[in-house]
Amino acid sequence: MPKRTDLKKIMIIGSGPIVIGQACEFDYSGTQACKALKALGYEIVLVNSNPATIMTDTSVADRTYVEPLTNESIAAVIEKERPDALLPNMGGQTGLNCAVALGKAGILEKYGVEVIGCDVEAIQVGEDREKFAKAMAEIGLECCPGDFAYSLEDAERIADTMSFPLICRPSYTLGGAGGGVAYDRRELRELVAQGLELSANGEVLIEKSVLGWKEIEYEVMRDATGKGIAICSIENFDPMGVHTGDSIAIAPAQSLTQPELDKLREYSLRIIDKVGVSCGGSNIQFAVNPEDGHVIVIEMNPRVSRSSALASKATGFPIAKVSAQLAVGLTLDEVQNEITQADSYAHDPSVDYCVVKAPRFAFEKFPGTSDTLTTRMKAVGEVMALGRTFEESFQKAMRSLENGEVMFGADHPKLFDEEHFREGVSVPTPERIYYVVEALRRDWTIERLYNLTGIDPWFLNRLKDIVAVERWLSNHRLDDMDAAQMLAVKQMGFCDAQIAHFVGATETEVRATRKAFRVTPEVKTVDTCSGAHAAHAEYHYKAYEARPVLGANLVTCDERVATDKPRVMILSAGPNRIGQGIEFDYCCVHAAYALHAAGFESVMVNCNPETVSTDYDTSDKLYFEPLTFEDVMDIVDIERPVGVICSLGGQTPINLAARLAAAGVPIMGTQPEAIDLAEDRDRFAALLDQLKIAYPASGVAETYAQAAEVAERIGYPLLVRPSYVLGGRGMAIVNSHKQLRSYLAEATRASQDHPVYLDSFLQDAVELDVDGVADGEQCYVGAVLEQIEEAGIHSGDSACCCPPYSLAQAMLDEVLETTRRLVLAVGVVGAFNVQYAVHNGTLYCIELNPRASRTVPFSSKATGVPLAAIAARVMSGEKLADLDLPAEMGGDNDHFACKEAVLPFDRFPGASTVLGPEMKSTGEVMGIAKNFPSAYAKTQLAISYGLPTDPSQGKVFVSVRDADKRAVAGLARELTLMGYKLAGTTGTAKALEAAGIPCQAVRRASEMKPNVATMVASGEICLIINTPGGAEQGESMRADYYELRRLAVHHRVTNCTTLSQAQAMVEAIEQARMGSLGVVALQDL
Amino acid sequence: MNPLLSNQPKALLALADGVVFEGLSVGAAGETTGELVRQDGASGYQEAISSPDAEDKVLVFTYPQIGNYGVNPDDQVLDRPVLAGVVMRDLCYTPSSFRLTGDLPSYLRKNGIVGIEGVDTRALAMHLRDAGPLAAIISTVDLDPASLARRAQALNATTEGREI
Repeated sequence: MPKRTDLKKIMIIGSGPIVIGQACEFDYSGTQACKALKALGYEIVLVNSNPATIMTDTSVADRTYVEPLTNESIAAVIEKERPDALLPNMGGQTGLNCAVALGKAGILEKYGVEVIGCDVEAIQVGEDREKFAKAMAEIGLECCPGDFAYSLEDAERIADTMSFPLICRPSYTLGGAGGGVAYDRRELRELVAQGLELSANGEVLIEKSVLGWKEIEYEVMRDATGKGIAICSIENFDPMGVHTGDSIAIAPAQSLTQPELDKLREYSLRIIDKVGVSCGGSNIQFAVNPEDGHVIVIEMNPRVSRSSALASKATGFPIAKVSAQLAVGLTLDEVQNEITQADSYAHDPSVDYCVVKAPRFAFEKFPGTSDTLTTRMKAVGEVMALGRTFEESFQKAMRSLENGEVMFGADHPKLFDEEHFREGVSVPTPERIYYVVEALRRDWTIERLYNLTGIDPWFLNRLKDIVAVERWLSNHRLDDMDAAQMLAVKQMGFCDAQIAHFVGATETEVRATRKAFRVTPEVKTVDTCSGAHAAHAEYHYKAYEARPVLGANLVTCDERVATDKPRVMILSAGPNRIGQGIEFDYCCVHAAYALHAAGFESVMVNCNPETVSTDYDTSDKLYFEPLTFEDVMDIVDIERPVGVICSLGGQTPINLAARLAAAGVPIMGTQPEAIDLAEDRDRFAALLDQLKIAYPASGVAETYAQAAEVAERIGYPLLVRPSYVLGGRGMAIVNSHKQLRSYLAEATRASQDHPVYLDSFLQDAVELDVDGVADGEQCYVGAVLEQIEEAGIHSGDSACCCPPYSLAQAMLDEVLETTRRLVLAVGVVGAFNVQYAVHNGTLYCIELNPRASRTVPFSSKATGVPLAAIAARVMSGEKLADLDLPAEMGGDNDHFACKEAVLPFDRFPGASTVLGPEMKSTGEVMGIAKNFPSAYAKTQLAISYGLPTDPSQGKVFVSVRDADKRAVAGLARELTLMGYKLAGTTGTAKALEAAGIPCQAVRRASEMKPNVATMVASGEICLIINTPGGAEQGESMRADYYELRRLAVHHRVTNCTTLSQAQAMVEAIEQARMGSLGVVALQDL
Repeated sequence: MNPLLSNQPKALLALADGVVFEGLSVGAAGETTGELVRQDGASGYQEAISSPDAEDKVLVFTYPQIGNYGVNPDDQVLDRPVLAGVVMRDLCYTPSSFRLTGDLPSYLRKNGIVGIEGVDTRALAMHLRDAGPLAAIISTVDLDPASLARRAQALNATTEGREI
């Protein structure tokens, strides 16, 4: 069928901020969908609150709304744009939920918007487990025995009919949030109570446990004619019980026979047909009993998903793009395969390599929470690796994680807790894989390991072979090895550093020997057809293969394509982690576009399957490879680039720059020498002294004694941190000798052999971020951002506003002038970010990052200045003066843009919810409006906290430190005038009463009940304003503050912990109460 | 299996156009000839090996790791395979499946199938795509590449009549 001509304008909903379970894979799918539909001639209206996405770039959709994904704001966009259709299945669970809500509210009907791709009824059958179970029974498929609980009593009753352990899954949550395994009644009650609260409809499924069964996923697709294909099967390394997002996963499935796979494929197609997916891609999860092959359907997602992004990258089949095309009426046989250009997408793709995905965790950021993996996803990112064999791909994936454990503990015996070694093997945690490998080193049998872990013996045997090669290496020296042996070792996926460790040599020696043996990787291609047709996309991976012994010149072992254009390699950011995520990928994607336009061939290197940068048509060439020195150098040897860009992908490539330069690789942009000048504290301080730029007093210490000495000299509070950090890893503010001692005890563990820096902490300062580009002669400031929280909270976790809303022009001028002097003195060529604190009218420089920062996408969207693209062109040799740039900071804006951070505390029960200099947020949202309060209000709505705009929602609790008592009165008066009732702790209440503002005095959280804690728990409080005291405050008051924060997170009550934030919040509430906040398309700014 | 861990003897694969790959013997010792035919998929190898369609052919498995779930009587198509030989990248000696009754290496040996592993089967399959149908010899006996290449080239002239 040809594409539909009755549709002109199509709306796509994005997935909102990056959260655990819903990350940048939906930027990848949404961007593909927008591009595909635009190419078919449709006008695209996009709504997404996440500014760090490629999809919200003004060039991707025709009309781009960075607005909260609430019914109200989407309805306003619909009213304004009048789209003919809504494509809801590109924005993850958020997109589907929005479609369902808009349908229920009658908005779609009112404006005549047709839902395409997947109708609301199908979404509900797919998502509602009761309906789904019934639908499955009707087509003869078995779901997991279980029932729904709507209360704790229901749960108890269901548990009576089944035996523990039981699986609890709340309905309508992201990434299985709130799910878990209950081993007894107490755990069941806890999980159900939490699940009922998280579930959008207060429903928790309690199911028979299929712990230990194989978990298999299918990615399938069908078109409107009913033609269905299977794109990929995925087998989880961990058996059922660990969320698929937290498990190592392998594609294609490895341990199922053809009849079993045929059956699952047929089931999958039958399921999407039954559920009513009219066309597009879906994901189905099965549990398969390893003892008898019994199959149970776990769930299906009638939309693109994290797994479909993985399947797209794993096969070269662009699931989101094709899904979008099918949604407008095309059929699978009408869409041409982009890679082969030889046929359509109407048949299953075929792979001739093994794909391994591995999750990246961030438990170290959340001390206090359990790192046991369950059915509730906790990973913050993932990597994918391609190789010829599982062994090769697995080892590549493990080194792609950048967690320092490429040797699975062989070089790091302290990794293993000997006392609890058996639990280390049996309990699924991020470290379990290392315990399993170590157990094999200790000659544990496959049978014993299988019984303890449920990991299929096929995988265990592959690991055993890896360990056998480790042993072989340990019995050899580098000089003893011949070329064939070296090749055999590399075919098992060993990296040079691993080989060096076992044979007792250095990595450099191994690399030199290997190259002398001519043992170098071949370039292979992902082509959807196992080489049956020639490939027209340069989507590559490296692999080690033996060439023919005769006639090698007749055979294409190495698929590299030579061109005469100059090539530039862009090193991207690797796995998403807290502090290094989508924002850096965004910069790299823009660099690829800009360099291509400037006549270069762009060569992207990355290993993160969730990203736009690893889409094969983003750059001219894509290498899906780990970002290690060895892997990057191998690609440099293959591609011979004129330059390598290391300053757009965050700290990962920056950390490689010096070593690459030392190996003779031309680094584009800021040189390693300048990077070191900016990152070495002593050298940087000396430079600031020379330039007469103020910075907080500081010192360095390697021991507690030295640190105490510095503390005496500078005085508390102190900001302490290890050297060379991103996202504030290991940073803290300490107020006393006691805190300093306990910090050092932990910090030395976090970062061995690195000294600790101690800076005077500027309490109550305003922090600023400056993003810009320099070319060595000129400095161009793209944006100045003012943090809404006071200094001390990591800028990644702080809300901010652009342009600065409270900065005097004189100070802004000083910021610009200081930035220019500093950046040119350091020798930045490319992107930079400077952080300042303004304290008592003095400007202090906190740090200079000689690279693109996390705020580049936000800054670019707030000002309309494409910073990453400018940076790429400057790095490739162009001058700012020749680029015809827009006015600095976007000129005179008549709007404000706010950014707010999104925090994952609900995933990590037990972890401290206090914000500090260590970054903890996973994502961000943006709000744009005519004034600062409205923009800030939009960010609060976008984070789904909502705004307490109605005094009937509850009281406002106010408890502030003495220094804020006078200033808070103004805010309290405004709240009272709007009709809010106030409650406060004794001191604050007294101060307010004295100012003539009625305020009910209530007890602190640590005092006798009822107190503020019980009020929050019972929903009596709708807003909290609670500013913590500094060093002068007692321990017990700090404990109250922490407890209130925890409660606020748990009960989702908005909590302002600084007066500036409270001010913004009160103004936001005022704006929101005055009526609609309005919606604005980026194209109209 | 990785050569460092395998005790299998060497084998050679010579194509009628003179290209020779070296690898390890899988299955029976000896020599076999036949036309090279690509076989896709990580699974379904037993069905392919025991299929009547494979008669006198040498199957080239494009998925690198073959034999992962072993063999079982139910997935057998013909009682005795009629193919000429197999070419693989990596053969699994430690399979896993509740259905298996044996492993693929033993199966190949018992059925007298001569094969080779350690071959870059993607490169080989792409070569077949570009060069057209080719006959080949797999040998664990004649381990001199030049000699085997000569014999493969002669073989082609008599069977396919294809000019080199």
